[in-house]
Amino acid sequence: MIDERPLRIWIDDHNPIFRLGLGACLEPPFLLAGESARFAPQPDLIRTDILVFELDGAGLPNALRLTKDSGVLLVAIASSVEDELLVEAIEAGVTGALLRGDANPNTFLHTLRSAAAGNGSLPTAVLGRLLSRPRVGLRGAGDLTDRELGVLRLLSKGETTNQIAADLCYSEKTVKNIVHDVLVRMNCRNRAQAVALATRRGLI
Amino acid sequence: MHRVLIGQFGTVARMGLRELLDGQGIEVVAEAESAVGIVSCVSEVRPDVVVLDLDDDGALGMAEEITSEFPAIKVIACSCEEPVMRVFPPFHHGESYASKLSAPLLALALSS
Repeated sequence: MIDERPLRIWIDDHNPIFRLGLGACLEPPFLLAGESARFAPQPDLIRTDILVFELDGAGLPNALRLTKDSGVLLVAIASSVEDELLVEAIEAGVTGALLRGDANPNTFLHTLRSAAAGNGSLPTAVLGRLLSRPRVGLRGAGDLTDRELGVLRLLSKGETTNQIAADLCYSEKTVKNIVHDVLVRMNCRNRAQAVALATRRGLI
Repeated sequence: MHRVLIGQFGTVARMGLRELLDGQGIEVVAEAESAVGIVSCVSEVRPDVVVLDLDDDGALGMAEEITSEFPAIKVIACSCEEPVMRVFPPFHHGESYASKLSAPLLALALSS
């Protein structure tokens, strides 16, 4: 072990059996800081070194938002290697990822150790996808208007086009146009990626 | 106190179940190594409750088989993906109901 300082792990998973199981996998220097389901109760990040969270449409932006500027490392549990969010998570600063189906004490502890040592750890299949992917950037992101940022903020809360239209008193068509403009400006392929990038860059 | 048999589960889920059962002081009398041997395992150890993996395609068929062959045994099939479980009470001819899955609810279902 590189560093024997205790490292506190917060585990967020909406299935209680899997969550308890991940907690039971921990061994020194890793300690269970606490656990939550879909971030309820909200993780106590003051007492957490690594936040383990479920990679889904809401989990990623929430984890990024909660840990922003906190120095807490992120490790994602993904359902599938095909998950587009996995690539986005890595680009957004998630340190390690593990497939749910591959999780066992060895793989989980390995992922945590790598994250703690400052080395990312990814399922090999994901690495291949990541390397073969065209680069995306945030060119022109500074040009986002307040209106576009407002829509991005609501997207990050998991709102649908419908809900955003209702919230902002726009038509659905307008919201779709704004989202389209945001994606083009941020050079992103979908909404989740735009939210992840914007969160990471502190735009929202 | 009820005697529990744990069916085939992934490693992490199995650890989670053990953690939950140990915490409640519930005795695990056996853990099935594979889905195939579970019915013979049930007939051998005669548990009060069998816990199955609801995400396993064969789980519901297995629950029916167990409840028809051993009507006094309760079967609880828990998902390790979604927070849901399906409970087959004893002496209910394989009838079952779905419930939210939380640690306290599962503990209650196991021990009631």
